[in-house]
Amino acid sequence: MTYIAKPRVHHPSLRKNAVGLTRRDYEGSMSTLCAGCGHDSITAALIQAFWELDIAPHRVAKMSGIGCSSKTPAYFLREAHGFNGVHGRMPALASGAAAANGELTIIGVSGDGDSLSIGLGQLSHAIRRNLDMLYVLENNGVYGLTKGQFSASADPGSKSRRGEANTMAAIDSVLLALTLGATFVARSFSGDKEQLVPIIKAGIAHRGFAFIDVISPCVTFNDHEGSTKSYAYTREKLVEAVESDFVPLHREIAVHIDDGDVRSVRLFDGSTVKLRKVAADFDPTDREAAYAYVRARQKEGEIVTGLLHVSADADDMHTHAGTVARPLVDVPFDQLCPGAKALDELMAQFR
Amino acid sequence: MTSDDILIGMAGAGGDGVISAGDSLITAAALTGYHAILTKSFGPQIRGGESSFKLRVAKAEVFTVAGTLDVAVALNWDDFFRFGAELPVGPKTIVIYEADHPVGPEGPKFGGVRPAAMVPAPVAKIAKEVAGTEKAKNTVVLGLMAGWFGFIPDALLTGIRKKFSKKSEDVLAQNERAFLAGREYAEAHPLAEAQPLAPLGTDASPKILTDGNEMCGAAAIFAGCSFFGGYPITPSTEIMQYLGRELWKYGGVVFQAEDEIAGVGAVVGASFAGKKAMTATSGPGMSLKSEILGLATIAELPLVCVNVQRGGPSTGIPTKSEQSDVFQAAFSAHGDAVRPVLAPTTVADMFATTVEAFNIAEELQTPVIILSDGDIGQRKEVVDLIDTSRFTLIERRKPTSLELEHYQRFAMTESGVSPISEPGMPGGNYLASGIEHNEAGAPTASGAIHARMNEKRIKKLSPLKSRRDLFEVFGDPKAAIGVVSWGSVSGVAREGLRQAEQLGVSAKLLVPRLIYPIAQQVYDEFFASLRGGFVVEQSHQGQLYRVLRMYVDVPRSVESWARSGSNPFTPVEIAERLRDIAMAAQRNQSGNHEPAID
Repeated sequence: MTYIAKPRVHHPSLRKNAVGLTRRDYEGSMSTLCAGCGHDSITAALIQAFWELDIAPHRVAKMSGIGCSSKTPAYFLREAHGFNGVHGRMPALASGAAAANGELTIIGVSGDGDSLSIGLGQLSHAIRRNLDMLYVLENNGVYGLTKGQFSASADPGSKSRRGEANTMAAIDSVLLALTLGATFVARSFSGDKEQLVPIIKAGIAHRGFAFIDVISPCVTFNDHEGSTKSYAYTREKLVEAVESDFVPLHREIAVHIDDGDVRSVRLFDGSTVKLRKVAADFDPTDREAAYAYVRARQKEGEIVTGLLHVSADADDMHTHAGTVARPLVDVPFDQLCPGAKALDELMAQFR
Repeated sequence: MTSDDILIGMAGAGGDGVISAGDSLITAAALTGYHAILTKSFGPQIRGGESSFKLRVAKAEVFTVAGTLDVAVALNWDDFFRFGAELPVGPKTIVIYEADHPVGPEGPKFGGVRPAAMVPAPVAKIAKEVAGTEKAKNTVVLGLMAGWFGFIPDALLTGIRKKFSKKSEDVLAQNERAFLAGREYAEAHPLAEAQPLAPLGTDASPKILTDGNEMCGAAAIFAGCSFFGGYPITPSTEIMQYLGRELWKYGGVVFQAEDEIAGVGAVVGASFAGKKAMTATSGPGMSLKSEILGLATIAELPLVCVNVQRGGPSTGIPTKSEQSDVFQAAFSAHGDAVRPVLAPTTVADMFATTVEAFNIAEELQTPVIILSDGDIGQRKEVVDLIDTSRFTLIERRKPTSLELEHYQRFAMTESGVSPISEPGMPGGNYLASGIEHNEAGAPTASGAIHARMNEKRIKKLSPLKSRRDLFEVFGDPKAAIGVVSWGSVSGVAREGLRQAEQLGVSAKLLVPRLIYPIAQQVYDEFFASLRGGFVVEQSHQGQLYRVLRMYVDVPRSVESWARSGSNPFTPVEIAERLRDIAMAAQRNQSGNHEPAID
């Protein structure tokens, strides 16, 4: 991974958010991905979302594994803490960090190789324990770092740049997440920032595992004719199930969705996500209906996008594990270390 | 005549209550203040199969149950012989057997050994008569032990009352009657060969009854560990179970992960977030954890990883102890990674070793591996109370506010240890990563930086090699014959050394608790006076011996004495080999005086 620093000179007139930071303060180093990579657009959406939510960067932990997608945390929130771990094991690192400090905002960025092949088990169990984090899967159907092998999300019949067709069925991460009981499931497209930013904001506010699959074309290995993850194919086949907007608790923003068929879902922290049905036969709070809808459109060759499912009242990992309300990192050592007296009590049990 | 040291073995069918009898006996020993060790063994069934125990009770500290039984109890012969070599009967053994299962005309299958006594006892008959049920057979045996071997009747009776107080009064009364009937039977049928247990003086210190896995868990709590991540695997599971019961009381979290990899991954994540964290596993789980241990090494994150070794490779013999993961602990890392490896020597020492592992991990910002073994992990032992005043606890070095102004997570320092921040600390942000990085934490592919960082990560561990307190020498430091032994086998070696002294042989024993990196100087000094000896360990290849030869000039006369797991060493064997080496050294000495032929 190479790493190019950006000059940190800001124009004095740049707008600041509630914590006194400009949008540029939420940027990271210069991207070393290919020009036109979908991942860079997702990075831009993340920067926008964190800035608009007024989140202090040092309260954020950016977690990632290995792959082109996993390089991107270097390109946003330079003042956040980061952990670029090993391939497919980011959810475990995030679980431990969350258990030790439940007040962190944890964002994981992963790809289809990192999440659906080597890390499929870890992704599944992060969903199962409803780990409180935002999980962004940057999905391009191909391995970029190792130069163009099909990934597990490649559609059958989709062609590689060299012309060979993928023969195996794809693992659809959204259907997987719905089946495993994920409490927040969305799919978006890197080229649709207007849709992506509110979904990311809602995902950050969601208590529990917020899963966002973002179709993110690989301009180098998977943006040719015959690919089902190219810009052209995705733009053509995309159908929006819901339009969403996110309203943080502390700030009223103008909702540019007509209130006629808007459905509000109140999230744990008091903020609201507003969903307007685009498809008449779609209900984002009904898991089975969402699954059926995504499948039905898939048979027609269409990709459903939007916030597909949310259940705002599920228990998250902290409730399951019974972690203390106060982050462990803030508990003074002499409280965590019980000392000789507690040891005497422990010893008494052995007698 | 009385005995200061009795070794009892007992076997029976599932439902005979053999294990329960062993627990009662060791509890009575603990309550009274004797030292004791109990090991249990089971048939392959998850539940309900044959079972056996071996119990040693002594006035002084003991380290092993290996050796020939003083008392053997067979509730039926088939099950007794299923445990074969685990319950060795010798010429001095008193064999007590269920009278319902008489010895056939061909005699018992002791391979030609004639035990000191063969004593039939109508255990089932007594149980039925006084308690109305054969379920009380094990309690009758306790009565026999009290009657024939003076096995602390008061404490046994107290134990029986405590144990059955939760059940109905009838059951309690039945068991009291069964115990007394067994004792009366023994008194009415005196056993001339029996040497009863010598009573303790009034100065016996209070003891606790525990095992190595529980000691590990208790020590982790004491050391301030607040996160445990792991996956159940025999024989380490009890560490997670213990912490699952206890850790939440101190604000900590136990995370039962979906697999071994996620277990250690979460530990790395918790350590990244600023907390002391631990995982525990056994051989196959260690293999799975290898990649993430490499991550912890390069990200310089403290953690403790316990490997309670079992017979391997693969599933191997999960229920039997082995010392065959030295190579894995030292060398399974990819890249130029050095990780401290510690080994406990006894059940009580598991407490000290675990505290030490946390201290080293936090001070040097490294994963530390504890190589426990199935024997230390699972054997029940009566040990002295842990004196906590002798421990100091070390915390990781956090950045000062000055250092946070231009924070460099991997700053080059003289010691190689850099200040470590945690998420939530303003100004302390950095990228923890598995990719090579510069002092600020930024990814790099520079060869110069890679070399400097490797140097930093390895150099910071070198103070360990001068830690004399991580080594113990027993016996005469100037002796010409010496043994090196580690882990649970070192206990057998200590007793072997004692017995060798009784045979008139002066020898010494080096027990390392730091297994890796190798402290060359300590070994050089130990080997300097030697003219013969061996490195004794429970692995087929003699793994510690082989690693020593990589780093130390091991004298030719110091050999490897290695044996696969489930084939225990005994103190007698070690003493006899020491004697043989001493005799051979004498012969060679005279050989040196022969005139040259040409």
